[in-house]
This record gives sequence, structure tokens and C-alpha cells, in this order.
Amino acid sequence: MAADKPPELAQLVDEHHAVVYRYAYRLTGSVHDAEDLTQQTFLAAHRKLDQLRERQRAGSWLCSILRNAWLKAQQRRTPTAASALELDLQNLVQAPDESTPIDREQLQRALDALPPEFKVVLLMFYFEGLSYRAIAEQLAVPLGTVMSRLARGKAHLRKRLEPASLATAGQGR
Amino acid sequence: MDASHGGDSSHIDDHAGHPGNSAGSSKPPIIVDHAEDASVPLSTGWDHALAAAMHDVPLPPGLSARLLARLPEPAIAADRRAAGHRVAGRLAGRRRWLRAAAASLACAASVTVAIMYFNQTAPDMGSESVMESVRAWHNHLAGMGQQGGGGPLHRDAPPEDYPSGSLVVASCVEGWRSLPAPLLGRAGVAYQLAGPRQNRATLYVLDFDGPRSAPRLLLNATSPLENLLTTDGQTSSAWTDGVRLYVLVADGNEQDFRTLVRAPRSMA
Repeated sequence: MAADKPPELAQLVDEHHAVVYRYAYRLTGSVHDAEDLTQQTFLAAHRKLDQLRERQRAGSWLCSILRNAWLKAQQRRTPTAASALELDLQNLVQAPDESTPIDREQLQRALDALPPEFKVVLLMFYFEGLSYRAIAEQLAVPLGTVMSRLARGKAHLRKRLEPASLATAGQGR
Repeated sequence: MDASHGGDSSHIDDHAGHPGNSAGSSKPPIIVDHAEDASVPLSTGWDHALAAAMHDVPLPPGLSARLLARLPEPAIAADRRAAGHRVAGRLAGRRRWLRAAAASLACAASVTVAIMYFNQTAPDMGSESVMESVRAWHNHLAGMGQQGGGGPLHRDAPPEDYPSGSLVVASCVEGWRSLPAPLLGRAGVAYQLAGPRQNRATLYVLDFDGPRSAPRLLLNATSPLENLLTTDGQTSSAWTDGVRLYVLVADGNEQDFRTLVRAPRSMA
């Protein structure tokens, strides 16, 4: 059956380059870096192709390769202090109106302002659709840490993405 | 930062309020989860909008061609040779799996509480909730121009694990696509359908039994004609053959929908 055969590299690129690139862009915040990371991901995938047994899971598998490559690169950089997230969770404004579209560039700027460990948790939850437990297992951190990072990261995004009127109201915090 | 428990409590409140766990919201959960993981529905409309915005990234022109061109030729050629070596690779894979299993056992204690938590809160999903969730997923992807998952349409033999089934008119099936991520915490595929009225539809075929902590499906319809839901110009139905879950999301009204399916023999 076709679905049981490990796909060839070219096929993987053909089917999954879009989602891999989009994930890479959200992580890196740069078109150039995203393309490099995407390339790196497919090369790593080629080396590990024997680990992929189910074609239906190729997308998830590639996302985890990409994420690990990015996290590894982040470890070589100067860490951002988590205290940069000066959030008063008790006084945050409510989530923006559901009907308010989220601007993709504004979202990227908000993501870029986050320390990597917050950004990756947000992306694992919202981009990959992983559960708290899966995120905790894959990052090898306690569940409470995941929930904390997600809550604070989400609060940060809300604050940065809220409409101008709400932003003004929030500036007094 | 890890000790920021103010954030923890904030999110627990958030999570407790999501529509899969309480009756507090009319929004159906979109569940996009890896098959082996617990599913966490997105709790608010803003969560849905944020998830959609995360994927809203334009692709640079020619990306696919550049990626392929930069891959070393031997890597492509090696793909073809690799089939012969995969048996050995799988043995190594099994050793890795055993090591991973041992590590997982070591982690088991720390995740027990989490498993209990998710077992208590994993939402059961009825027929309507399943249809709405899949429809939301379908429309979310379609809105990004990724019909049925956005991958290439395969017109070759359908995957044996996820056949389109006997209740969908075979001549309407144009092909199938892999899903970009599990749906309802389950693996599966999406079939592209076209009816005699040029009506378009997508049939999602998923595992009925998901991972332990995925939402339990309270759905026993065995025919696409048992529970029809028409909303916003789309008609949906969800049914099961006991092993697989079928969800058909079709453009148009019930009459259009009926051109794509047939009743099981017992109902005919």
C-alpha cells in the first residue's frame, strides 16, 4: 500500500514544504532564516528517513525535526531573560474581539519579542496543535512549566495584538 | 520563569472554560493534535483566530523548486537505494524505541497526574460536535487555500487503512490527501469528491478509536444519512463502521449531499 511506504525525499518536500516553511518562519521571524531552516529540516529528514514509518505522520515528524533544530540553534545564543515578559496576568485586558482579524506581521513581531522557550511552546500549541502533555514530554519539562509558559506567552500576545483602543487602556499597567 | 504559577492558574481557568469541558460557549472545539497525544481544544474564538494566524504565512515564490535544487543529488538517488536498507534501519529503530520506552517509563510518574487530569477533562464528542469540529477544520484550511489539507491530490490507490468506504459513491472520488496534522487527535486522510451536480465535498476518514486521552466519540450512526447537519451552505454527516470515523463535509444542500452517498443495505 502506498501509505505504508516511506516517502521519498522529493515527495516529502513536495507535500510538506509549505507547512515546514510556515513553521520555520514563525520560529525565526525571517524569510531568509526560515528558508535555511526549512532546507536544514529536509536534509535532516533525509538522514532519518528510516524513522518515519507512517506517511500520514510525516508532517508532524518534520515539524519536530524543525523545532529541535531551531531549539538547538537557540541554545548557542545568549538567552533572553524570562523577566522580559513583564506581564500582570491579573490585570490583563480581555481577549480581543473574536471577529478582530489578527495581522500576521503584528503577530510575528509579538512572537519575536518572546524568549525562545515561550515562543516554542506557543507554536507547539497553536501551530502544531499539540497538547500540554505532549509539549511537556517533547520538551522534557514539567507540565506546570508548559502551562505557565503558555499562559504567559498567550497573555503577551493578547497584550501585543489587542486593538488600539484596548492597547491604550492597557498602557497604564 | 518556570515558577510563574500565576500563569499556571490563569491558564487552568482558561482551560476549564473551554467548550469541550463546559457548556459555557457555543463555539465547537477545533482539535488539531498528534494522534498519540491528549487533545486540547482551543478554548475561545480568539484562540481559533490565533491558530489560523499562526499558519498565515505567505510562501516565497519558487520555494519548493529551490529546496529540491539544493538537496544533494545523491540524497535523492539514495532515496531509491534506501528501500533495501530500511530493514536494518528498522532494527536500529527498534533499539531506539526500546531505549525511548525505558525513558518513558521513567517519566511515567511525573505524567500520571497529567493523564488523570486529561482523562477527567477530555471532552466526549457527540455527532454534532464531531461534525462542527471537522467542518471548522475544513473551512479553516480551505480559507487558507489548503483544501482537504493542502497536500498534493493522490489519484493512485487509496490508503488501505483509510478507505473511502462503501457508502460514498465511488465515482465521485477524485483522489485523496494526507492530513497536515491529526484531526480530533486521530490520524487519517481526506478524500476529494465531486458530485454529478459539480458539487464539491471532502470526506475525512479517521481512526475511530483515538489515543487514550483523545476525546471519546459518542457516535453510533452507521449511515451518512442518519445525522445530517446543514449550516452555512454546507451539509455534513458523521458515521462510523466501528473501526473508522467518516465525516463528509459537502458544499450545498441535503439534495446535493445525497448525490454523493448511498444508504447501507439494511436501510435501503
